[in-house]
Amino acid sequence: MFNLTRGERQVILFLATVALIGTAISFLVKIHSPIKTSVYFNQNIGKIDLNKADKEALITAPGIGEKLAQRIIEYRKQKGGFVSLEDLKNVKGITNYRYERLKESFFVQ
Amino acid sequence: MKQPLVTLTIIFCLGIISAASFKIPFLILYLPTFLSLISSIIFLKQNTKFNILILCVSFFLGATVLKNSQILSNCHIVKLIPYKSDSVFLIGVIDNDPIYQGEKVSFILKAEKLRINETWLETCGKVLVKVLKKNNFAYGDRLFLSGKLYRPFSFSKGKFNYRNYLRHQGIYLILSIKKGTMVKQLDKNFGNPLKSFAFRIRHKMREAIVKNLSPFSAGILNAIILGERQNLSAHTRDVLVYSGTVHIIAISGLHLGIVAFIILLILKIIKIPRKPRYALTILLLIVYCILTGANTPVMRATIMVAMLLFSYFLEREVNIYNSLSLAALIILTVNPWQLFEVSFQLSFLSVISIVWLSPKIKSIFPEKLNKIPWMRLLTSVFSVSFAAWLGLLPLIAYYFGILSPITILANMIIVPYMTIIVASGFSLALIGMLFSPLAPIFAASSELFIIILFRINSLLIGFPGAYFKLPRISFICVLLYYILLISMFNFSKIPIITRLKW
Repeated sequence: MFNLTRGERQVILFLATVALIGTAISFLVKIHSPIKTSVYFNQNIGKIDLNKADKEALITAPGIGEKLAQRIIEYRKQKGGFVSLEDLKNVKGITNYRYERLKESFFVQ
Repeated sequence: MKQPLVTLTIIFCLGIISAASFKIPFLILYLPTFLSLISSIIFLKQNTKFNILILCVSFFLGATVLKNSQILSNCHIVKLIPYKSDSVFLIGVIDNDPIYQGEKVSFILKAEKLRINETWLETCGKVLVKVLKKNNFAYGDRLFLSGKLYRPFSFSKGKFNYRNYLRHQGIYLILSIKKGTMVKQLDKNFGNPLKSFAFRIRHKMREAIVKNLSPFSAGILNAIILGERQNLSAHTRDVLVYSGTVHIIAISGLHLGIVAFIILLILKIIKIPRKPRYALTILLLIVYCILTGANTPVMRATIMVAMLLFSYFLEREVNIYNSLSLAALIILTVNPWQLFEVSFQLSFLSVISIVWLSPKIKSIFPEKLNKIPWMRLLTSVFSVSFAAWLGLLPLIAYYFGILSPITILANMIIVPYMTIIVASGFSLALIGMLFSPLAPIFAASSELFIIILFRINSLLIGFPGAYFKLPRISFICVLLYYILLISMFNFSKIPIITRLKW
């Protein structure tokens, strides 16, 4: 069938062994991989700070147009800032339904 | 046998096919692989026993590699999301060069973190992201995204299945981001520096091509040089499919050969010594492979050309069948599902057909013809074109439902002509990058060459009987054809005058 030299056989066996060990390691890593929660991960990542964001930043949030962004800024100036996320409901034009959609995009520090 | 890797590769492929066809647990396949490997080490000195055992190792290893690729990690994103998800929040890094098509952008995201019920979970796996708004994304960007995750639809066009196509690339989910959802860039440059560098060159080359050519020619040249086919119209692709020359818009061995030649020539002009010249060319070819997206035909061609250059570097002869087998083994070990991809099958089969059949076809011509230089060239070109046509005929009919006899003549004309287009295209891209005022001169000639190419193509497919659309054929017919072809060329008494010396 093949007329392989001793060196060629050793090379083939070495490569097959490496591939087999690699496959076993990959298999074991996959079946034993735990589902980790990112406890120390910043939970507000990707969200917009309601007390710091300017008009342009507010508009990047889904469901916020120019007018609503302006109203949020005006409310912030009047009240000296947002104490909690729920204060958003006090802004004209933000209903409970809209608040539920918007709350994922903001945070208050 | 002079090509032991060929047999080992065929057996490895059989192992992959068997594992894909039957539901056998990973450990049941792993055990015989391990035992046959240990036995082959024990019987290293015994010829027959070693040969049988190494074939067993190859078969079970193929099956094991495929089974392993089917097992997903516990933290894989597809295991964490419910079947029908609402909007999810995801953090990940862009893993390819984003593709822009009008207002749409798509890219592959390496998922890192997923938010479910106010908890961030660490995750892994790839997601195809489709964004429906104008954003600037780049390879290596870390993004925060929100959108709907769904499993790809299993729609089919002929033998092509979209869900399987994505799965074979390790993509199980699509994230659709519509207007009014969140896309935020958190960080930049989280990718591989070599890949980032290759993509930067790619962008500059694309810019030089798009800036200096008409949209039609730029689309064609981007496909030929950079492997970007998304901007080609369906009509352009169809006319190339009909003439059997669609392979020219995929980066192949021909392209890699020309690129290697250009690099070697430049390095020779600047007086780089022989050995560093070959080493540098191999490195630059790897950069080019990454630059074009490193898909199967490019990888296959890169490995083969690199092996050829490496043999020159070591001043040793190379066996084309062994290098082809090694390329297949590397690609299949990384991703065994490639075996079921049309591009993999066409890419390898075309090279095998040319290498195996063309000398046999050439030997049919009388020896007198070979003494006339231009006739020798003509018979060589015909043999290569006819060999590729014979080798791919049933697969083209099976996958695309087309039989085009004009392919033989079309490839005889278009493939040698492609050398001019590839060389002028590269010159345009490089000059456009380095010294843009000169680019319009190169662009004018590239434009002309591309127009001539399509004029020739239109003329050829306009011939009566140039191509036929076929009804569906079964896979058994394809197998029968290959059995007939192999027996015809292997056992018939065709005088073989010229033999390839590798």
